[in-house]
Amino acid sequence: MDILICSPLEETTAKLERLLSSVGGARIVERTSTSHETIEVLRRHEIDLSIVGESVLEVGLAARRLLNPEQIDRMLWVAFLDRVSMPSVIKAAQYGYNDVLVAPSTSTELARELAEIVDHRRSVQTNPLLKSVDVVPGLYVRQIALGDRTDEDLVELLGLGLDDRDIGLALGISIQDVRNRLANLLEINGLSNRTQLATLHIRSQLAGWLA
Amino acid sequence: MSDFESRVTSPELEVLDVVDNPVFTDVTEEGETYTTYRIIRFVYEFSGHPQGWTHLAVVIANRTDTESEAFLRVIDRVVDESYILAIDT
Repeated sequence: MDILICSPLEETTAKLERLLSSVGGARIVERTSTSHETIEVLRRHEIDLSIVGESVLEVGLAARRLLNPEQIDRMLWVAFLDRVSMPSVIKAAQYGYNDVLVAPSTSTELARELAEIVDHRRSVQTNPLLKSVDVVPGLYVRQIALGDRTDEDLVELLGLGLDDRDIGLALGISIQDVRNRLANLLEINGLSNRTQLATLHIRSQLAGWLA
Repeated sequence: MSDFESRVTSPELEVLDVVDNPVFTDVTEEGETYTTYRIIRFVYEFSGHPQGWTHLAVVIANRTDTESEAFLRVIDRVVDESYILAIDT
């Protein structure tokens, strides 16, 4: 299994190298510390598994935006956390990581956890920390689906922080129509609240600027 | 002295006699969660309601088909605000 380690922290990279050195079949192909370096490596090599440090989880998002989707889907993406951190687990889930590794202390432990991830016996979606929160796994790697031009304007205004009543005033439609449209957009995009919709839209726009 | 009045609506009253669209979306107090309902029939109409409600209606949730009652504030044939009451399971 060809592995890429991405972390700007030397300590994290060194720890992973030490642990992986005793994991059978694991071969560290490259070490990177930024999104740019990671994208370049992924363009050159067929990587099976990317292990990404907690401080640079955006790397996974950038790769999904800039690389061939088939290549990305063939790979496994794992977030490496130094400690149990619910915000980081949520972030990894929303960014489309397959799972998280929380500070494995021995090679045996790491090998067991990696085997479970590779064999799809566990995933971030079944992480116990996420049971009690409303998370949409892979939320930010999605393309937002909109019905018509009014939906586009509605989501734009939502992202600008307007409430439903003011959105209706701006678009010249009733609040009933605004809310019915919002409910429909939440449903077709598999989202559960308006914040997710607004954030997904803003991130899609930023990705468009950066692409 | 309150001018509040409550009247049972006529059985002949059609939903579309009151609103242009029987489908409306209720929003939780936090303004986050949106649930769509369809008005089945109006039960009461109010005037001078202290909370501004104009009607009590039987509604059905689009996704779950569960029936509830809802206070509605209808302004210019539009459901301007709603409050969902007990759910009949």
